[in-house]
Amino acid sequence: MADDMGAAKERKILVVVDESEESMNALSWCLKNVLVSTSSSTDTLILLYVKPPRVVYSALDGTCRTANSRHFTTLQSLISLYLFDCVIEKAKRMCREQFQDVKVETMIKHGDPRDFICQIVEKLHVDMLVMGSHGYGVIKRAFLGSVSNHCAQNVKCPILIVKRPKSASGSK
Amino acid sequence: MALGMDNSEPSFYALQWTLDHFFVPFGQDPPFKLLIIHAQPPLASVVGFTDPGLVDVIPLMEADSKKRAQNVVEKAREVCNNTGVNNVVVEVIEGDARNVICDVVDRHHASILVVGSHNYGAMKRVLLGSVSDHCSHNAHCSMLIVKQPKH
Repeated sequence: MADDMGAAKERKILVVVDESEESMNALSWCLKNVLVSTSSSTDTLILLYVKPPRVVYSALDGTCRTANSRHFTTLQSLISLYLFDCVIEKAKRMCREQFQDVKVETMIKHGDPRDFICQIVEKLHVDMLVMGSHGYGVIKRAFLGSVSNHCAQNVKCPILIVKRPKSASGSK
Repeated sequence: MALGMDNSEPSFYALQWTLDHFFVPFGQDPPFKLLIIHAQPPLASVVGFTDPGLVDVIPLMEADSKKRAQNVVEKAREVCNNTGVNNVVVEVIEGDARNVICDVVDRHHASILVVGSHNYGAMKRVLLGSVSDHCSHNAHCSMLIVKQPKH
């Protein structure tokens, strides 16, 4: 429709972030190719970090003291919060380097990434979902499960899976 | 930017969505060049067995599937022109959609591949096979799956 060309389009783009290199790659690719700086676009970029619940095995030492497990989980959550902060800072810096006027929001959630991502997409009426892909082969996918695969099948909005381009040597 | 199409409504929705989001906001200077791939299912998949009587039918069926493919191409071009996007390359290749799409992506070094999604459930996926699933695993570039919002 010709009259929509000049109108501002407000889009909500949700980018899924974890500690891996692939999701940073996905974020920078998304910034480069999807959000091109046009003065009339007011996009909101939402960075979502989902922390899967980690299984903690409480270690019983010789004196059967189990108070260690509580300290261990606190320590773990502190570490992951710190990791998350680093990741978010890096992401925010990338965003600001490329675009000054894009709104960036961040979210951190705990739980299973697959379900959370689908829920959040519905709740926030996101326009597009961006995620990286670990590039697992078939066997790894069967064992580890693929978040991007599950989301691609269950999420209700368009989804962009960013892969790192492999060299054309045809491995795998 | 490569876009896989067949004759279904999700494909056309995906085409329109892509045009709206990646081409319209940029006016005359879009960052991508659009390449539409239409995979024509090979005749061997439709004709199951050979039979003396079928020899006459085969050219007719070929002509029919060529016409159908031509229809899709024309409709796609029309959609593009309506949105004001010119300079679109359309390729029609015979073969299984999954392999065709991955091959063309490799050949043209596309940076994004866009496909629609039929929204099959789990059972249908296993039985019919999902082109978007296969491409997402095997294509060497980023992939965008456009779904039609359910109402």
